[in-house]
Amino acid sequence: MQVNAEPAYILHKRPYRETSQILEVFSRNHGRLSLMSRGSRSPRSRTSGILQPFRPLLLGWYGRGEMPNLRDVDTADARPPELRGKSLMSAMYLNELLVILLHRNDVHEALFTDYHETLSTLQQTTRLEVNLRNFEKNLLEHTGFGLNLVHDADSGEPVLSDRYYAYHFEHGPVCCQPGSCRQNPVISGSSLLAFDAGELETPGSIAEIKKLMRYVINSHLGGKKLKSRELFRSPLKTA
Amino acid sequence: MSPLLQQLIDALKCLPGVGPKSAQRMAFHLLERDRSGAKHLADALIEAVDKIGHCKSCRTLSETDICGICESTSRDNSVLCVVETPADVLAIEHIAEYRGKYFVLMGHLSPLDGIGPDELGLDLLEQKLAAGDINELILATNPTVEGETTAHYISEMAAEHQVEATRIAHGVPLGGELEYIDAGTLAHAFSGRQRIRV
Repeated sequence: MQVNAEPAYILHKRPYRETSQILEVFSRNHGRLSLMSRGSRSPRSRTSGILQPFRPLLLGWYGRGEMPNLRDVDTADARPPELRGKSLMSAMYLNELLVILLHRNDVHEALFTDYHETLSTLQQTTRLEVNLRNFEKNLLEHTGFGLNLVHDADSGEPVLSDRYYAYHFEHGPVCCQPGSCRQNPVISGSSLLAFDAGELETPGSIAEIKKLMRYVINSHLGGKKLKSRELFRSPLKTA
Repeated sequence: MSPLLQQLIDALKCLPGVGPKSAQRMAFHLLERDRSGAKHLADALIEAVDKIGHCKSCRTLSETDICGICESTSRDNSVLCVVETPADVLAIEHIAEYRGKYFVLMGHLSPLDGIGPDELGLDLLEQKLAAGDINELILATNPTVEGETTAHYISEMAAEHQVEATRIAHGVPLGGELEYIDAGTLAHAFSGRQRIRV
């Protein structure tokens, strides 16, 4: 099989032998896959500077089986997103999520576009939290774990903005009294509706939804800890 | 092939860049032409593996509790250079311009490889920063995504302890030609341009 100029991002690199590396790649039309990149770690390599995560690339590869060989690489965009500090750490968090939650060779075209757009929004740190939450929501939706945010999972009634809901994993929000539920995160109806509409604004809602997404993602990981969360020494700004 | 010879060849394959063919050549060379060299190599290996540990102060490889550089009285205690590997220490020592001390991370932050702040001994670095002897922290981690992340994490730590953190410059290599430099490096060199002092 031969693939030419496929839009892709590198999620992770692992050194292999002396001068080669194995690239974990998220591509638009072939999903997540591993590529063998021979010689790209040698001091004379011309590609080592562009074979970096968070750079939109055009990759060409050939070969069948588990790990095709990278043939050529080009940049897809002259100006890659400038990620520094908290933005860079957030971007690493996205990559860890993708590596853990995406199955190999499942094609997610819309998610690829979403990842591409999220990376460029991460350049500004002002709405970092909101952008991360929206990406998490879309990631779950595209991988078949979409969240129910608008219907009470027990009664089927629409979620009301003045009520409180305990969120149950793989079930959904269930109306409850605030303070009555200890195992599950309790979220206000208004926050659920705002998150569903992609209009998270108030610091209170952002904090609630963060609690919700942490609970849902941790449940998906089944005890595995996300290492990139340890990179944040101080909490992100919510505004 | 004799079992001992096979064992030797298999053992040599643990070296980087040594496959079955080179391992076989090395084994025959040692046994046929250089037995005393082989004995010397074996002794040196055993001694090194038994005795070399990590410096308690900077984490580099050292057979003493505190390495030579950390113990030196002629070096500047107020400047600390953070690098990823002991090989980086040697590279910087080679330019003979730096007279401060080092801190060797023995890696970089890489969540997908399971390496977080705890695995890099950053608590030890934090103690050093808290002690208050350091005026400048030079971050000489590699210009990779992981190296930048590590540098940022440590710079936040330095800021908490009111220590000035600096980052080594990166860009066009000496003798390089712009035409052949990759876009990423060139963009970095461009954004990091400096005023020419006349």
